[in-house]
Amino acid sequence: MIRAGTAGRVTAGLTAATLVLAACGEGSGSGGAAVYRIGLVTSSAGPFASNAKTMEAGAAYAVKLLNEAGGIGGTEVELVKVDSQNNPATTATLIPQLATKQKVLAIVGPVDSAGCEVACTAANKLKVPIVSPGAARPGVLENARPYGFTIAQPDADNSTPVLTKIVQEKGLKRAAIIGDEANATTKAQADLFRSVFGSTGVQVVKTATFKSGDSSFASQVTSVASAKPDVLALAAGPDDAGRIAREVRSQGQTFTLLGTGSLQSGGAAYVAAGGKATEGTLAAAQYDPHSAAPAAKALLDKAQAASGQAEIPLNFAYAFDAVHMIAKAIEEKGVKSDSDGVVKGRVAVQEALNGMRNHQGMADATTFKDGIAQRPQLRAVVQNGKFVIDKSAG
Amino acid sequence: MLAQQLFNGLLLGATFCLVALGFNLVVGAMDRLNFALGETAMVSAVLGALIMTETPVPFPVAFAAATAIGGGVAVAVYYLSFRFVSADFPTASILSSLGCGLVLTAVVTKAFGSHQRSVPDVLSGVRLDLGVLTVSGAQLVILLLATLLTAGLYLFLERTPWGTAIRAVSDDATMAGLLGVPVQRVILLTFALSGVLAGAAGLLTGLAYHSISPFDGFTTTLTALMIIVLGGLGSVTGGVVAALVIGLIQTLTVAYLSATLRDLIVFILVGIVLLVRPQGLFGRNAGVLERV
Repeated sequence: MIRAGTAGRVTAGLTAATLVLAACGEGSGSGGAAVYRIGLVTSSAGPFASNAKTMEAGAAYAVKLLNEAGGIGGTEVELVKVDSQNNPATTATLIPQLATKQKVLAIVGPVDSAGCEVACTAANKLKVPIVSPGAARPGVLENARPYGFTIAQPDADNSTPVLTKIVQEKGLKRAAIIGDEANATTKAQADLFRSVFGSTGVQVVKTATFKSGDSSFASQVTSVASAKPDVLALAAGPDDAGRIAREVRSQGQTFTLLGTGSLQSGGAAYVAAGGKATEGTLAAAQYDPHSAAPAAKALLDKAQAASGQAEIPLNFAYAFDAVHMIAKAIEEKGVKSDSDGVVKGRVAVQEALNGMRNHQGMADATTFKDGIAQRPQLRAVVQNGKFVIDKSAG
Repeated sequence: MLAQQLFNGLLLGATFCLVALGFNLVVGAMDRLNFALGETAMVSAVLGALIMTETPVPFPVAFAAATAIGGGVAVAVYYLSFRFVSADFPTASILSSLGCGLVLTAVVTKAFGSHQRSVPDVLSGVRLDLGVLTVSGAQLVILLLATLLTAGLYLFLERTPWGTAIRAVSDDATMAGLLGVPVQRVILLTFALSGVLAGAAGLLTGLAYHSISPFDGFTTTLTALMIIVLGGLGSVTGGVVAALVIGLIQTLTVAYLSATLRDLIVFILVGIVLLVRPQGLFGRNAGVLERV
């Protein structure tokens, strides 16, 4: 009797504790509380880790501003952050977790194309709207529509005309390309360069490879230098590209360094890694951190003052806009914050994003065309330690 | 181009050499592998780079600081992972030192961030044009310091009483103890020396690569392991030769084949050597005189 009584009390206690824990879980982790949850897929590893960090800061800043202004219709917004660590398998596990356990209404990220391909496809299958603030590889949303979106226009569409013009204006004849052949994003950048050089009659005299995260580029740069190119095309993440630039200049080479729009998007990391060696680097661009458009200028000025940064990076602005576009969609469609309305809410957010036209944000106007934002085609150059938009380029 | 690539390979090998020698010292003294030595090199390099960028001190001071930090960290790892771990359980010290390495990486990323840290150039205005190859000021410094340290270690081991004591403990610790050699102090000195070499290797590698990542530690450990397997456990000569060979192979593979094949080719080479000569090129079976 005594044993049975003790067991009974223990069972009752455990049951009560379980119920309490379940109740706590409901409030803090599974979507029952009166908040709008937005997932954020970041990555602390890989060639685009610095872009992901910038994206994270932009999304967090957007949520902070939204909540300071009273949230969405008086309901707070909560950012649920997960770290994929640049691992596709982890990404594929985290998306269902955000969808079913955290019950997010929409997801922001990943910032890179390779990550977006996995995450956006998974989110689309689960019918969760997902907006990447950086994925720019052609076809990145092929299996992710209608729930997948990207605020970055693919390099092929955005960078090709700009790079073609640079090549023609500078009269470049001999090019070398350096890229990571094992990384899908940088491989696409290398293909883009080959296409541009092919169409402009530039001879590719050398192709060098590296592995993302490599420390030494001495061997590759020596090989490139021996081919005597006019230009070295950087098909690399910003950190790797910065170290390549440093090795190029330390070997006394003076050829032009050229990047796609992705390089400008990680401009701060590129300059931080390469230092003075990055001066004069030319790149395509689709975002002006010193935009004169009234809405963008006001937001950029405010963000500069709040973050202490002299220049707001591309992924910060894109992530900021992604959060605000999702918030606008929630508001427009009158989506409820309770967990029962999540499935309907996701459909409504998706419909609103697909129908969104000319959203005025930190990165100027954004309109999605089949999930892909249409962006301006700009030219950027590194001057005095930062990428600046070359307004003279037209 | 070949001459320049060979020089690049030798330079890479020279930096590998220092940390591999550090590994070999510990193997010789304790028959144990210190799996935190790569992280020791990384911590020293990160702090050395910080000193170079945040203070006005010249490179020699930062280099001395990096070696001192390396020595200190290695001694700490000795007390945490080796001193009180029973010799009957060799895997315990392996796991424990691996854990120390993970903790060191975590501490550095927490304190200084996970990004690659830029290492400022030294003698940036110096450039020697030797016709078939060009040598920068930084490369000269790396080559000079790596050679000095390797030669210094060799002389220390061969010509000083403490070096003789290290070799005695390496050959037979019990016998050395019975003959009056203070075995524990010698082992402590060995760890400190290995840390100094790792610290030097860390900062010199950062100088060669222009940057240092907090995640470089384990890669350094793996490279050093391949070197000592190829060269022969405990052999100074083997360590030097194997480091230079691996540096050359890695560089030439990247230059003439592909960066993605770099590690594969080194692994294949190490595999072949293990099959044909399991004790390594200059391993213990090659003779007692080769041993540390």
